[in-house]
Amino acid sequence: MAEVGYFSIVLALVLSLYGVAAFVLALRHKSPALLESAKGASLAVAILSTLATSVLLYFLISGEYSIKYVYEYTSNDLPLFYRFSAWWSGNAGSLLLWLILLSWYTVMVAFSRKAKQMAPYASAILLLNSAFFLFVLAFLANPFERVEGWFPGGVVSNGSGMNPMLQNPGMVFHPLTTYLGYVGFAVPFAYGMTALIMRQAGDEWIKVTRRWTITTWLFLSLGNLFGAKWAYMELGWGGYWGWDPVENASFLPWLLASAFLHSVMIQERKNMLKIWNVVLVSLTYILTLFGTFLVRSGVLTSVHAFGNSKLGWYFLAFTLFMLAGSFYLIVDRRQLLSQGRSFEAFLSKESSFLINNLVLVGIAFAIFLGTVFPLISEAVRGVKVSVGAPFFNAVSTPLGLGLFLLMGICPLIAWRKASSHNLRDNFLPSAGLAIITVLFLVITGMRKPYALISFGIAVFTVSTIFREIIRGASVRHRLTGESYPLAWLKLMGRNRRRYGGYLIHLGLILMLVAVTGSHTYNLDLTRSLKMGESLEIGSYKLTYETLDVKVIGNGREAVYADLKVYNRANRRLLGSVEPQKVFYPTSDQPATEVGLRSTWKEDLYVILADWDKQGTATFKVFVNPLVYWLWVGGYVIIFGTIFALWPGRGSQTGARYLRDGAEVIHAQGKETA
Amino acid sequence: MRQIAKQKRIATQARIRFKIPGIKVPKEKKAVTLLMLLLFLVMFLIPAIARGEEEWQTRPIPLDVEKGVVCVLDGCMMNLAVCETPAAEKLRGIIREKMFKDGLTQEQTYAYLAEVYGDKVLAAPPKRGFNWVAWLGPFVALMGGGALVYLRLEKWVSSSWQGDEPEEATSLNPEAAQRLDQELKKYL
Repeated sequence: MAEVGYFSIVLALVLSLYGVAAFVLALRHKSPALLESAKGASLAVAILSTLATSVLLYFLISGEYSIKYVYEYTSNDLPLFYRFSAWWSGNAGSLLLWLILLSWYTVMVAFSRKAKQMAPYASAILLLNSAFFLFVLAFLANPFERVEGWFPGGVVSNGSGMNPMLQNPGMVFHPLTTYLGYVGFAVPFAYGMTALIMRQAGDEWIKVTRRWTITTWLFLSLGNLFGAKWAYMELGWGGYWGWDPVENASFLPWLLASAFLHSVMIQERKNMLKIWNVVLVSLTYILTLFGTFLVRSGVLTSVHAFGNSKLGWYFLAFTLFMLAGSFYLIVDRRQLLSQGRSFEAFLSKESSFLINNLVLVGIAFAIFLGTVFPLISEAVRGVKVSVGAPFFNAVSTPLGLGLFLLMGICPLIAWRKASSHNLRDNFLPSAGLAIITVLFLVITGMRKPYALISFGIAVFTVSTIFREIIRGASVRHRLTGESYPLAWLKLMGRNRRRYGGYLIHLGLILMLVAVTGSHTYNLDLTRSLKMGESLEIGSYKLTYETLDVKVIGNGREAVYADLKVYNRANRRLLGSVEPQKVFYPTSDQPATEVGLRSTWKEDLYVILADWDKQGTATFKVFVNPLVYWLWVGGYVIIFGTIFALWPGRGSQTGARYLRDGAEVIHAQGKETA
Repeated sequence: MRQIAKQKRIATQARIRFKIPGIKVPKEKKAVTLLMLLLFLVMFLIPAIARGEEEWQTRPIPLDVEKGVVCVLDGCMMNLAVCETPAAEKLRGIIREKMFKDGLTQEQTYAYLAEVYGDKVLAAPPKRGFNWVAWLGPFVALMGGGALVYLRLEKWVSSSWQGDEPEEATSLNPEAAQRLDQELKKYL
């Protein structure tokens, strides 16, 4: 059976290389038969990848521990749910997940009815990527490798088990969504490169890939959100984002894709920024490969890393190959890309988008530089340095606040040309509201400058978004005579792309508020208590009641403490929390289960850090304000993205306008899928 | 603390008793008393001192301090705030000693750690020398990018208006106004 899996990989490798050649030759010789054959090869690669994955899943679920991968990541006591998620818990399995997603994405592109001329080249590029992953799986990280010393007929009765930290629902959804996002960026990249190869630098590739990019962006957003939730609940340090190199590696493509989703609007409307958009889409995909290199190579220390492996260097080589290829194409076709129109005024929505792009790319650059700076420092000076959260917080906070301010200013500026008079009229009410909010916060005792600026910006931006919506609804009400609620609903429904974007901005503002609150006003306390003793933190009084052990199935035991939570002021019982340390039969290190009491105002977050035989226990207690809104903001972003993406009227590309004529042309609307 | 105070009180009383003038204490009794005092010292004071050491050894390190340190012992390289390995405990012991026993400030403790283990023990590179590349690089790049965007915009805007005649505001004819209204309704 293992041989079937391995043979599928090798055969898929051969077919993917054939597919690349067949697609290129079919285009060169204009041979429909060869094109069909190439499409068939891409389908065969996807089927063979699925077969290999099915074999691995069968082994994982049936407990075939003679397979090294199964042995290393599962054991007899592992629940079925986590046997399935073991698929992406290790190096080879996660590469197989990458491959299966990429191969089916390739099939979708190859058999797509849109942009039929572009599909063969795009498929060839995607198949080339698949070939690389298949090569890695076949020769460097074989998921079907047997354990050392195994002989035919030999039985291995148990495995060494999964890392307890991975036995959490968050670790099931976080990698899956992150990979869906990561791999998905290959498609816009492939179309972007195809546009350059075919010298068709118009916006056809953008129309084809817009949904891909947004969907992929959505998955990566979800991946980051699930990852943050997992870190918050499972790592037990009171935070949700640690600026770990691998977290950064998934944040970087997200930032660049966000920049692309904004700048693409300029190309759609003005046929400009073509080079910039191709650069952004290329860098986005290349950064996903770079992130994979970071995870696999072990050059940087990370909680996510799969350990040192020579595999990483193959990824680096492939990343550099893709970088060089795309760089060559962009430079070679730069004249083609530079055709376009002009901006009519300094003050316009177009120019504000440029600044938005500048800041987004600036943040990405800051994070990239910080992430690789340990390597640079060692290479240049021979001195090892660490770059962690204090650096990233210090550098990205001012840039991030600038970005949120722009988020508020952009809706105030008109397309083409905005007058300073209009901007001032639009700007002043929101700015006034923000200033009043800041003054109110100062009067109520808030003194931290960053928090004040951040909350001020949040109020300003939310205010501009709501003003935009109210103004739109009013105009519609005036023109159509519809009631205000109906006018508002129809306005949202018929311009879903635009208002979906505003919803995403609102979600991001909620996240800004949460991050500001939880970073600047969090409390923490570490205290050893005997049973019956209490501690006080923030508005809470916690009384330590009991410490006990319970069996929680599959050989796992949990040491848990029961703490009653009271309101510190009026001693009213609010509830209880039960922090735990869970011991797994296959691991020496227990996993942390946080005792959490979450409200819209703040999270009470309790960790059982230590205990002795007398029952004295040490607790780490955090009060993290506003964290609840981080998750709410995340789900608003998801809702906003789906709202914008949902097919039908309102999700199309915005109107294109031409300066030379006086008419507004809805050229894109009906064309765009 | 109460025990230490009690021991001090007893010791003071004993000293006073020895110094009472005009009363002669037999040598044997004096020796026995000294021995008892010695025993008392061994039994109570030393553990009390030891307990004092334990106090700083177990005092929790503020989370902000831990967040600024990387667990470099035994190559762990995780942030100390999230690391629970024995190496992390050892590093916490050193920090406790410097901060709570020797009375160093957070910055002084960081300086001490950097001197012993190198800059890699700090979670952010110290702001000196080559490290300024990391600290200032993003802002310099942003300013450079800003200048580039400005120059580009200037070029685009100026080329956009080249050869154009000044626009004059004219009122729309009824037909155009109707078309505009229809388009607007379509958009809405």
